Amino acid sequence: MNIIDTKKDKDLAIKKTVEVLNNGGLIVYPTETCYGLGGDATNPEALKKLMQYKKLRGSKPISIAVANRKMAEEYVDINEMADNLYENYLPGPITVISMSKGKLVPPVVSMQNSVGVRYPDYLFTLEMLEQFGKPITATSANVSYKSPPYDIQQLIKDLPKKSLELIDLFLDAGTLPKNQPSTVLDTTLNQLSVLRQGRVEFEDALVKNKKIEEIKTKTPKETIALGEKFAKEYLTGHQPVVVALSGELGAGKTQFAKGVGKALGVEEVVNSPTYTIINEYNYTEENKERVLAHMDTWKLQEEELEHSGLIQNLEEGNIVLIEWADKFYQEISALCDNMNVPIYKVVIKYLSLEERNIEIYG
Amino acid sequence: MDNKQPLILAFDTSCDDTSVAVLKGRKVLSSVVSSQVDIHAEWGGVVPDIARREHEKNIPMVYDEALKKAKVSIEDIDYIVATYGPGLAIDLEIGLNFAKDLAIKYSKPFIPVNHMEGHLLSGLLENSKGTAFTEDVEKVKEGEGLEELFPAIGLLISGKHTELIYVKKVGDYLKLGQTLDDAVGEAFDKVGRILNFGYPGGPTLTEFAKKGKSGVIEFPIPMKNSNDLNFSYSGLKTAALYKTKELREEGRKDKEWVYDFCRGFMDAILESLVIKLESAIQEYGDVRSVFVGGGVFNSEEILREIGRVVRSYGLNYLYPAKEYRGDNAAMVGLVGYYKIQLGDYLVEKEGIEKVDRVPRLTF
Repeated sequence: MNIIDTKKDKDLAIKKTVEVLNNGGLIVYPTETCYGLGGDATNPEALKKLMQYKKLRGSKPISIAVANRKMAEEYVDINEMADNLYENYLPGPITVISMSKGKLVPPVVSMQNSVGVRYPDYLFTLEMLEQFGKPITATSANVSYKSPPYDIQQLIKDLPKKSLELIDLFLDAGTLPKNQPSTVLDTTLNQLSVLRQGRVEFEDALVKNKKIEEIKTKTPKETIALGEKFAKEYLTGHQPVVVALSGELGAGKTQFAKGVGKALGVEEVVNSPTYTIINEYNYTEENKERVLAHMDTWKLQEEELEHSGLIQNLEEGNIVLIEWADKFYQEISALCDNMNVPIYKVVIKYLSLEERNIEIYG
Repeated sequence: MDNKQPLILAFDTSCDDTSVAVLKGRKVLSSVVSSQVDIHAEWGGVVPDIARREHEKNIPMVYDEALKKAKVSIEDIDYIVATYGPGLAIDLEIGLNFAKDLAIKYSKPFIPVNHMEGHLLSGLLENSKGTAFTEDVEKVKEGEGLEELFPAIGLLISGKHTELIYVKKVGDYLKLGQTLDDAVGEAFDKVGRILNFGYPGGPTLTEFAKKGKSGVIEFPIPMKNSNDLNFSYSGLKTAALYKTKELREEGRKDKEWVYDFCRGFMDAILESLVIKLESAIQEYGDVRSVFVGGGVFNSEEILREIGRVVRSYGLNYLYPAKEYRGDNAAMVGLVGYYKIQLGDYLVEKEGIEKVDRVPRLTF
């Protein structure tokens, strides 16, 4: 069993580590959270050996550790959200999930083709990674279903002999502070760029539509009142109909929807459908039971749109309000065309903390 | 005594996860959640909703696993329970139909349950050894003393819900207040999004709040003077958006202000919750306990601070163990258990077949 004290002879420790990694071997190394298990993340043989050690993981991917942002950029796409994390919070106990550039193979790439990147705030490990020049695996050094290790001697005591034999080098930095495992942040979902792209397409499409209203509201109450007025004038008696709502977080899309609900006589509280995806409210119109559907695409993936209940609601002849409609505008407008359903567009923009500019297109 | 307790099989597919649990009375023998995050796994838990919401594919596996972990077979089960609302119709249908089919096939009594009632009573769950998670439940011995806990106030906060409930006794509820726009968990996640944290932003925000100082960056307390028991978080969200823009325009790097920002945001949320909870306690002077539930209580700070307020009124504080704060089927099984006590279950095939999902189910 090879154990090197990283504090006694750092240079020797780094030299030996690089040798082991180059030969496809496995190391146990210190980080600011717990001891990690490292192998050359670009060497399939090393990864195979690693999986013998971790076993029982199912299809859960393994993260990689990098020496710096530049090394991360060689293997993953760093989008706006990831850029924020690298600039402000790294190195540190955060695993940033980004899309793979295609140079890595499972298990360090997930089924969705994403990669978890750790940029550890631990000087020895950063220096070692820089010397090695490639990413290594970043997974806690315990075997599956055991607690993460903070002490090399304890780990060695706890490991079955077969697992122990798979490790070529232990880098002992003493007992590590018991910090929590890294926080995992996924930057591949709900990207700003996707929302912005959607918004550009949405606003381009508006040019072909007739603007039927443009109003400045000074308070949420006025936004509600506008929703109420609009519903009375354009929605009642014209079902099925879609109202596509667009506007930044907190712009007042739900306030506008509240106004529509009020105009129709919905008695329940109309609140945000972001997490519920779709809220269906009953109301009565000329003694008939009707339904107002209030939905939100914020949390939806494209494929989920058709399972969201949107089509059923249109088939039933309901009024459907859609928040973040710009995200899937192409799909929504194609659906409306096919079903011959009119679609109104409401664009809400911030003027100040309280004031909004609201445009409605027919 | 123990052998007389019914063996309950419970299903919940009202959310992103497929959940199945087996209970012996109030004791959880097994509770399996499809996307269960192995706490030692680096990032297996984060997948897009589409992959998680595959209830149809997950449910047979999760069901098998729950029975296996509880070391029972379907023949041993006395009652079958399933959530029938609230939630997305297409999600609810899958768990409800699976459970109904089992009940009919094996001639077991069937109990449809409100998912939110599950969150409300989740503090009464016990682990497999029969130990409750809060001392206050320990005072309640089976079959006697439960009434000692009521009437009570329930505070339920998650990504989807923010509700205050008056609980006269188990099964007798009155909704006192709710959010008028965003739920608390939603406000956390969306402001996490404004700060560009990635997914999930909410837990990161609560983590970062620990590193910040109170009073450096302040936010308005939502609904402070609203004179009712409702909540509202969209104004706070807008304030957070503006504050972020302002700070960035000053040219300061996020890391210089973000911890104090998160602290200030957390303080505003906490205060808004405390104000409404205290109003409810004062208005309903006869309450003896406060029950809390929902995923936002995964924040230990929120759990602790609400607890402090509850104690200051000398009330019992009932909250679930960490694994039952988010969505799970064990809490649904527990509601089933109390419905069995009340004789509120379906035996006839025709009756079971008629049970339909209610996506907008409320208290």
